[in-house]
Amino acid sequence: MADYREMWANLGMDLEHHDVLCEVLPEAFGGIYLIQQDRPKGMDFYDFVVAEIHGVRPAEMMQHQKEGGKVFGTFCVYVPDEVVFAAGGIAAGLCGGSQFWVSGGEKVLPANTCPLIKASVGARLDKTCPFFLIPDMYVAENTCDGKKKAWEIMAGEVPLHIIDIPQMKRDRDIAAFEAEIKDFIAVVEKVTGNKITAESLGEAIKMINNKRRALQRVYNARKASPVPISGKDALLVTQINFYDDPARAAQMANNLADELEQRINNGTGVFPNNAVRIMISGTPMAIPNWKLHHIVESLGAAVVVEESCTGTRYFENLVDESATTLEGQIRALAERYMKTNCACFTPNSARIDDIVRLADEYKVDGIIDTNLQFCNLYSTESYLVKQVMTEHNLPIMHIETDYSEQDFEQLRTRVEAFLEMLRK
Amino acid sequence: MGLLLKKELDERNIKARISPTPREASKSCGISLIVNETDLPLIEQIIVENNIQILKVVSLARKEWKYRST
Repeated sequence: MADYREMWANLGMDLEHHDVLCEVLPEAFGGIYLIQQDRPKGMDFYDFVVAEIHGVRPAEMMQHQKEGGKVFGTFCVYVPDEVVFAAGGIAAGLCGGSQFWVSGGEKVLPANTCPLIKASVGARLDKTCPFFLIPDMYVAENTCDGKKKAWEIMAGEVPLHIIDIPQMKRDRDIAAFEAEIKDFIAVVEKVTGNKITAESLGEAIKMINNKRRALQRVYNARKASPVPISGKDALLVTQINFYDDPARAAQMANNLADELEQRINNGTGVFPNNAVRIMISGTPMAIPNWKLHHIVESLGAAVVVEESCTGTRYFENLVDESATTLEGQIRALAERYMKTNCACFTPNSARIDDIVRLADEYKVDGIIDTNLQFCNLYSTESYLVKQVMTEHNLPIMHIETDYSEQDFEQLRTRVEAFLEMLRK
Repeated sequence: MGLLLKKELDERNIKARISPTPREASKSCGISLIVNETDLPLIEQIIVENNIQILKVVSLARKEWKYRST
């Protein structure tokens, strides 16, 4: 067991405050994850990463900096990681999923800000997360009003580049995003001191695509009945992929997928054949937000797919690898990223089409459409989601929640009633 | 070292779970293995035979897990 306290102190972390999180994690992870039966062996790697959550990967990132490399912290699936890795940098997802950080964010943000933004800002300002203290630069975007304004506060803390995400998906919007990628390349080249070439960008595109393919394999296995992996475990895999080394992440997800495919061949699963199959759609669940999955699965239903940024939106759609010039590769990146269906776009009917398609692919019995508290975009969109699902005879419920324990029992009662209805 | 021991235990079909270190064991966040107490004599033998460095062995009471947000 490594002792990372010296590393954290060197980063300027508030060790005493951080220790509160260290104290809670073993019990929370034990109560949510380790109580599960028949978990795939491939989950050992992910359990290890959680056990050393603020140690093992931050140490790698700091070693990279010692060797002259740069680290970029990112907040959104629209940030093209390929650009960072093509310049020899490391990109790592920073979204905060812990209630522990929320109060730190509330010191500077309005109370009616979503917990993800509060936690992310709190993690930085309170100096209680190494991932937020290591990056040489944050790469942000404008996918909601809350984030837009939060970045202006964060900009006083750390160099920050903002990618302007178009809000519609016309041809000229894709061209605009292409221009944003070009600007981002110039910024990354300046920070790293490395020129991005067609060769290096081509390699990075292949590396990130391989990670996407591996995650798709894990998700494909979840289409089987009985389902060979719990929704909680699958969610953890995706969450860790946001900041792990992409090549290793692909390898680990492929190892896990091998095991899951073997389980399917043997007819073994972690829920009975007749377990209710649930899709969770909506806002992302950043690590360690496992709340809703835990509620659903502790009531005997299986979460078999997430239509979210910590689910299918993260890995569906590959970047075309055939382009050989920088110009062509940048166009391919723009086309791929603009296929992602976030509620920040209008109209966003393609997301609703995705939910209908995924419900069929994963043979779901019911959908829980959820959004983090105060997320106006996803909350408003839930009206249309419900309308279309009802037209397709797909049972759906909507849940708005945060990271706290306060509504846990209330949510459990509501989910239990929904599952009872599905079982009839 | 924790992963090395886990591998050795897996090869012998001895149940072990990788966990963040419980506070009862140490204040330093990091990896621990949770094992059944009845397997402990055999595990201690494996630790010695393979020259695996461990910090300590701590006995934990079995408890009913309750949801707790992180």
